[in-house]
Amino acid sequence: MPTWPRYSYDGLPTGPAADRNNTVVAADSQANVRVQSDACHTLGVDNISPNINLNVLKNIGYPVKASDEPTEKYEKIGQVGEGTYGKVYKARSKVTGELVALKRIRMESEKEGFPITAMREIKLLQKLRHKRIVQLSEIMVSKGSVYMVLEYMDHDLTGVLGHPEFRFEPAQAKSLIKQMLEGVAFLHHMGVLHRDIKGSNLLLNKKGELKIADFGLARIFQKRRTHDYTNRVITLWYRPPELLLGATAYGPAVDMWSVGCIMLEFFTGKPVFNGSDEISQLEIIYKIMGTPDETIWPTVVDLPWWELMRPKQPLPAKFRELFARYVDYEVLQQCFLMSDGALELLEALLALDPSKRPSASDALKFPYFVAESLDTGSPANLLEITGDWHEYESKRKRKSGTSSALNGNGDVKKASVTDKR
Amino acid sequence: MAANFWTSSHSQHWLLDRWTIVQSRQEDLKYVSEVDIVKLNIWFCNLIQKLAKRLQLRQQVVATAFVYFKRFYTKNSYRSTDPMLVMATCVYLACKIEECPHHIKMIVQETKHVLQDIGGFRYDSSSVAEFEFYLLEELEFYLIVWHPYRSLTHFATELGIREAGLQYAWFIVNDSYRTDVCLLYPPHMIALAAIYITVVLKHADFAPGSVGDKLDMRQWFADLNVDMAAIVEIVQDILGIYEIWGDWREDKVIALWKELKHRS
Repeated sequence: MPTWPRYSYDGLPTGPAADRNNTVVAADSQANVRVQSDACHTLGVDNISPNINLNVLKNIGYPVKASDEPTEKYEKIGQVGEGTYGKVYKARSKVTGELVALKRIRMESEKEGFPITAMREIKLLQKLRHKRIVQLSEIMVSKGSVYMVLEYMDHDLTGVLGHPEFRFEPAQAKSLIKQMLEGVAFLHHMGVLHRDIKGSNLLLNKKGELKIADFGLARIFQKRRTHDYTNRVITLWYRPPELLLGATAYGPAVDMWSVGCIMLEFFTGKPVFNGSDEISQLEIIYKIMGTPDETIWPTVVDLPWWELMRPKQPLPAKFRELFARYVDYEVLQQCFLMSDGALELLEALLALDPSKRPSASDALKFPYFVAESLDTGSPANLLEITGDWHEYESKRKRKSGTSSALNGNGDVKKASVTDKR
Repeated sequence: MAANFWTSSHSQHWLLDRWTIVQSRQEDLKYVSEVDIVKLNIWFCNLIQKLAKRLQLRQQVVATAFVYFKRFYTKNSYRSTDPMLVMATCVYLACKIEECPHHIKMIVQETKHVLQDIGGFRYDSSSVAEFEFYLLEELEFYLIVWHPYRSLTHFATELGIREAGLQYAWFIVNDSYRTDVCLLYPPHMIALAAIYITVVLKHADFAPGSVGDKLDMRQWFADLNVDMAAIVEIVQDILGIYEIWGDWREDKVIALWKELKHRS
């Protein structure tokens, strides 16, 4: 009998899982036993918010279960953010004392039922188990809304960069940029485009760990296939030129542009491409990175809005000139010499032609990480920041009068909930 | 998306055992027999399939809707709920999850059409939107369902089964959703069972010189290192459904449904 290679594909058991065919079933049996008496529950008005029409459920005899109330299990400490589809709270578990983030998904006024963006996020977070991705521990249902229970992170990058005194050392910046790239490399490996990488979605904790959050705009993409997606994604300041020129077939390179913008922000302390609308955004990019033409970006002429937004006069790239020795005259302590490695990686990430940007895993192999001597230790002095620094709180502090040279956030309206792409 | 079945929510939370399924039917079993429940299952699946056809959904989306429907009814009885609302909502949700969303109005309108001669559909969009919330809760928000189709195509290519044979096995997988196997076994096991039936009934048409042509299929299955007893159980379940399906008639099932619904 010829020896036949052991079958393997990503669903069939190989290795340690090989004998799990049935043991899984057996192990599960207890957890799934339902108490049948639940079915006798009548609808208590207390259990349901007034905006829910009781009749539908009564008509079909749907048993309302006495499920865990989030307010009984978690104690809300305060609001720390405002997401695509609801508020984010900091809370403490009454059972374990552990801190969590509760992300509330608004259910009211949703004609199309449960928001598809929230559904995508849940679906993705259940699959994306990685130390660089914020982890979803459970989902709780309460009075007409749903809470995602996420691991709590002390800060987000926008919040920390907006901190009046705190500045990253070059080695810390390098560590965080590396962690960001590791997270993005994992996402792209799993076939996921994030499509909204920006400071407020990069969370930090006091141990100096960085995790990627907010998958409300993320989509699964197929490698080797171009798709018809919406170009109304990614917050304006982090949006790559191909999207600004109307591309609907795009891939992981869109996230790499955003990663480049964030990396630059680590050095400058504030967003560099800070347009106020699509047109000025493109102009600012051209001013710094130069104007594209067919020689440096052959496919640019095929983009839908190229003719419409065609640069009036060709501009040269000024990137090196501007950032090799950077002095911010508004915030004088913010001046630095960027290393050759950093400049090289930034130039690659911020290539106008998306096909010239390195993938996240290739970016991790750049001399900036592998050849330059700076050690990439975790930024432990995040421990010394007192309080929690999220974009939400920094914004509120700024609003209350302590305005600094820092800009507000370039949030623009995102793809609508019913957007099919 | 490349991922591993064993780490999926499907594997970790939604592979049940037969005892759990029998328990979940106790309420309905007070009024009708076990075979009657199987007949009702076939009916509801047919209605979902009809609705899906009107919406021109891919088979994978239909299969996800089937699984949602079945998972919901491992925690609820037919008698105390309205399967028509559950069915429409499962299709609506499956469309969203499989990234081919339809407007809720469209779902309601097409459900009305499918049910027009058999009692109609008395809900509007807001009922479906509201019910979706409860469906999600019952599904414990575990929404990604793995199906046998991908493994089936993979095995068929590996073995060298030609188009007609693959088509036959594919239909068997479609039919398997009328049974409970999608609640009990991992999808690749169901795919293997479909291949097993196809081979035994001599519908597997192997390309000359292919693995399936050269190798004794008994040996092929033995070398897979999977639990053959489980494969045989799946095969029996599927063959069992064909027996009941043979003399299944919609008018009789409608009468049966009325009996279950109204008997006190």
